[in-house]
Amino acid sequence: MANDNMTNKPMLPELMKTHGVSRRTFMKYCASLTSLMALSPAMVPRVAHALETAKRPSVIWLSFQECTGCTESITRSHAPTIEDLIFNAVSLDYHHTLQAASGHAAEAAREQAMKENYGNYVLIVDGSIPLDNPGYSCIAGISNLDMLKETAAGAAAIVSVGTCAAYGGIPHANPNPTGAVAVSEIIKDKPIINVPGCPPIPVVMTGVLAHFLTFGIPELDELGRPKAFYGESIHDRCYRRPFYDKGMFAEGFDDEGARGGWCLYKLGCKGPTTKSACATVKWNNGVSFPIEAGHPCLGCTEPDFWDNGGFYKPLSVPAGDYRKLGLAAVAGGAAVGVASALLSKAGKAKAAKAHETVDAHDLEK
Amino acid sequence: MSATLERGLNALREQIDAPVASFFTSCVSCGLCAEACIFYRATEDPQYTPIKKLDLMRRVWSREFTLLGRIGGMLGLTKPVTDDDLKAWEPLVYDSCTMCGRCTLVCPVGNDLTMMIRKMREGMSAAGHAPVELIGAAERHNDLGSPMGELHPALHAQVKHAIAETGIEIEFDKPGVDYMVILSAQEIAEFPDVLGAMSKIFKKAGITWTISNDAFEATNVGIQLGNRDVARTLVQRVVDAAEKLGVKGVISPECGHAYQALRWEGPNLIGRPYNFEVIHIIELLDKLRADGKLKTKGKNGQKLTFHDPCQINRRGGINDEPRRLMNMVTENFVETDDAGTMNWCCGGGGGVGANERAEDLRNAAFKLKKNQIDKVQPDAIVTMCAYCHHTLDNVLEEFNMDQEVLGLTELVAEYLDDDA
Amino acid sequence: MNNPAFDLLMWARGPGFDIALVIFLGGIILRVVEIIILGRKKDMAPAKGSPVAQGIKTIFSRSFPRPGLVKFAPITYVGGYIFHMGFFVAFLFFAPHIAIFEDAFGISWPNAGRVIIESATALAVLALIALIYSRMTDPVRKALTTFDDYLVLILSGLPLITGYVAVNKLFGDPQMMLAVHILTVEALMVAFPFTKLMHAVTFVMARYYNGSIQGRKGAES
Repeated sequence: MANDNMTNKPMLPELMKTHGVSRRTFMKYCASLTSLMALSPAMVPRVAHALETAKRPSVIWLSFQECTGCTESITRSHAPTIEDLIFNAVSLDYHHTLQAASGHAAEAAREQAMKENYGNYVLIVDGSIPLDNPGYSCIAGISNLDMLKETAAGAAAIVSVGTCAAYGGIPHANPNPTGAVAVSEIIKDKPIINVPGCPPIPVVMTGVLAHFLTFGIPELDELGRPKAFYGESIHDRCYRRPFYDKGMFAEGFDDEGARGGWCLYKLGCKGPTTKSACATVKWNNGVSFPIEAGHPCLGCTEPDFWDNGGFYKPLSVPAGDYRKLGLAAVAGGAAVGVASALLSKAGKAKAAKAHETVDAHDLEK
Repeated sequence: MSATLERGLNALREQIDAPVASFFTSCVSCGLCAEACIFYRATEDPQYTPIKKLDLMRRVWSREFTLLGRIGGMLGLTKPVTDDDLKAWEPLVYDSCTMCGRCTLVCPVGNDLTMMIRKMREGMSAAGHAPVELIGAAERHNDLGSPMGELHPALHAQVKHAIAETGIEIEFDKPGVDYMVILSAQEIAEFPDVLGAMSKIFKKAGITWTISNDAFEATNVGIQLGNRDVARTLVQRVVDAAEKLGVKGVISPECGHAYQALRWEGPNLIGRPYNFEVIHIIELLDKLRADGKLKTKGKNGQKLTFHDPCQINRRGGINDEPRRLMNMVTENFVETDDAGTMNWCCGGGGGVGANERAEDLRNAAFKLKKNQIDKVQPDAIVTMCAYCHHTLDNVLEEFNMDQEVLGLTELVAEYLDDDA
Repeated sequence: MNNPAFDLLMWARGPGFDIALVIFLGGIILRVVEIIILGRKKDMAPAKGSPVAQGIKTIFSRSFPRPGLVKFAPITYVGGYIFHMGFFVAFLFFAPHIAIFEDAFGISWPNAGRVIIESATALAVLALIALIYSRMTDPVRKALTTFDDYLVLILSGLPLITGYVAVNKLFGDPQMMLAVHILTVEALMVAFPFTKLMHAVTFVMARYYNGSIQGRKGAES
C-alpha cells in the first residue's frame, strides 16, 4: 500500500514522542484493545506493530441523514490523546465536523483523496440514505445516494457506523417519510462492516478500526456486526441478571425495585433481544451504561429498534392496539353466539311442536 | 302411530339444553368415567366408557346446536345420525347402564353423564330402539295398572294377609289421611311383609295412611325406558289419586326409580308442583325416629352390612337416614369399602335387570359388588330397594354366596318396642 | 438491512396477536353464549338441599377426586394435575407474563423466580409426554382419543417448550426464539374455541349444573 501521499505524514512513534505519550502507555492501550476484541495476549505485539507501522490509510468519512451523535461518541474518549493518535494513525481526509476545510475546498480534498488512494481507502459512513427524493439530503449539491455510490466505488471496505448507516436508524422508523435505507441496501459489491448503536460505544468504533488495520475485516454475524463486540446479548452479560432470575423487578422509576437496582424487564428493557457490548465494556471509560443508570435498554444496536413496540413496553407485551380489538371481538362473538343460540332454540321449538305424544303401545316400529 | 327415526331424533333434540351443551363442550376425553362404571370395570371393555354411550347425542348437539357443527355439517364433514346408529347403540345405552350415577360424581369437569343417558333414552325409545322387555312392562302398566300386569288380586291378598298377621286395619281409598302409600310390584310380588311392617310402625307413630286402588303402583318404567310421555302418564295417576284423596303426602316405597320418578322428575313431567309432599319411606322412618315416635327394643346380632340403592342415595340424597336407623336396631353393623355415596350398583336398576339380552353382562358387573361383600363377609345385607333386594338375591345365588338380603323397613319393624 | 427474526417477532407481537386475540375472545364468547342462551327448564320439584350453593361449591370441590379413585387411573390423575399446575405456575407466575396482564388490565401479582418457573415447565412437559403415552396405549383412552386430543396436547406443549428454549437461549437467535414462542401461544389461542380447550372456560358451567342438580336433591356432587 505504498503511497507518496502517506509517507509525508508522521508515523505513530514520532507522534507519541511529540505528545509525550510513553511507549508503556501505548502498549497498555494496545493490550486493552486486544483483550476487548477477545484476542489472545500474544496478539498484543501484533496490534502494537500494526498500529506503529501502518501506512496510515486514507479514511473518508461520509455523513448523510445523521445527528452527528456517532462523531460525538467517537470523540468522547477516555484518553483523548490516544484516541487522537489513533485518528492520526489514519489519514482522516474528509469529515464534516472534524475537518478544518469547508465548502469547495472540503469537497476537493475528498476528491483528491479518492483519486490518489483509489481502491485502498476506507469509507466510513454514518447516517441513512434517503431514496424517495434526493433533495432530502444533499452535500454540495450532490445527493447522498450519488455521493455514496461514487465514493464506495474506490473503497477497500466500508464501515457503517451507527444504526442509521447500518440499518436505517431513526429516519427509517415508521413511517419512513424520506425512504431512508441503510448503506448495505445500496452498495452490494464491497465488504461492509456494520457497527450499529445509537450511538455506538466509542471504544467499539475505534476497536473495529484497529482490528481492521491490523487483521483486516473481523468475523461478522448475520447482520454484519463484528462478533467481538456484538456476539453477546445485553441480557446474558447484565449485572442485574440475578434479579431477573429471582423474579425481582422494578415496577416504576422510583420504586423500591428501581432504587434497589432490580431488573428492568417490566419497564421495557430490550436486553434479552439486543446484542451489544454495553454491559461489559460500558460507557464513559467503563463508568456505567443505561441499565446501570436505571433506564431500560432501548435495543439500539438492532435494526428497526425505533419500531420495536415501544421503549417502555416489556418484550412480552403485545405491541398493537389490542384492547379495542378485544372488546370488538367480545361484542362480535356475543352477537353471533346469540344468533346461533336462537337458531338452536328455534330448532328445539320445532322439535317440540313436532312431538308425537306416545303411550306404551307406540314404542315399536 | 309407530316409532320412526325422525320421531326419535326430534325427541332427542327436545332434550338438549344448556347443561347438555356445557357437558359436551367440556369433555376432555380423559376416560375417568370408565373407571367409575361397573360395566367397564367388570369387563375392561372400553366400549362401555360412559361418554361413548352418549356419542349419538353428542353428534346431534354438535351438528344442530353449534355454529361450528352446523358449518361442518353443511360442508359434509360430519354425518347425520342414522337408524342403524341408534340400533347399534341400543345395547350400550340400555344393557350396559343402570343409570347408577357413579360417572356423574367422578367426571373432573363435572359432566352429569347419568342425566344425559336418561335424555339419550328419550331419543332411543321414541325411535323404537328400547328393549322389548321394557316396552312390554310399559304396556302392561299402562293397560293393567302395573308392570307385572293385573296385580289387584295379589295386592288385596297381601293386604288381607298383613291385616291378619298384625291385627291392624289397612284401608283402601280412604280420603283425608296423612299419607297415601304406593308400592312397587316387586314388593307386592316378592316382599309383601313390608306391608305389615309399615302397619305396625305407623300405628305406633300415630300415622294414618291408605292405598289407592287406582294408583298403588310406585314403579315407573317410563324412567327406565326414557320416555317422558309414558313416565308422565304413570306419574299423573299417582298425583290424581293423591290429590283426589286429599292426603298430606305420598310415601315412596323401597324402590329406587319410583323415588326418582315421583319425587324429582314428576313435577317437571306433569308441568306443575304437587299439592302434597313426597317422602321416601326411609326418610319418614328417620323423621319418626328423630321425633321420638319410633321406639325400638333390642338389636340384631348378625354381622350386617348395608347396600345403598343408587337412585336413593347417590341420585336421591338419602345417605344418613338409613345409617341412623341401622344403628338403632343392629349391634354389628359393618360398612363395606366405598359405602355411602360411592357405593357400587347391584347391576339390576335402570332397566338392566329386566333385560334378558343384558343378563350375562349384568352378572359380570356384579363382580364389583361381590368384592365389597367378600371383604366384609357379612351374615346378611340390608337394603332399601325391593329391586336391589331381588337382584342381590338372584346374583348371590348365581355366585353361590350364602348371605341373606333384608329390607330395612322390615328390619326396623322387627325391633319395634311393643310397650312404647 | 432488516432482521427477519425481528420482523417475525414484531409480527407476532403485533398483527399476529391481534388476529389470535379476536379469534380467541370472539370464539370463546360465541360458544359460551351459545350454551347459556339454550337455557334449561325450571325445576319444579321442591328442593331438599340448596342447588345454587352446591352448584358453586362443586365448581371448586370437583377439582379434588374422591378418595380411592386415583389408583385406578394414576397417569390420568397425576399427569393431569402436574400438567395443569405446572402450566399455570409457568404461565401465571412468570414476570414477563404478568406484565401482559398488567398492560391489559392494570392488575399485577407477585411473581416466582426462574428456578420455580423452569421446574414447573419441565414437570408440565414431562406430564404431557406421559399423557400422550397414555392416550396411545391405554385401551380406554385410546378408544376415546381423536385428532382434537393430540392437537391440543401438542399445542399446549409447544409454548412450554419454546418458552423454556427462549428464556434459556438454547439455540438460535434470541429474537427468533421469542418470536417462535409467541407464535406457539397464538396457535394455542386460535385453536382454543374450536377444540376441547373450551373446557377451561365451560368446566365452570358443567360443574355448576352438576352441583345444582345434585344439590337440589340433597345428594353429594
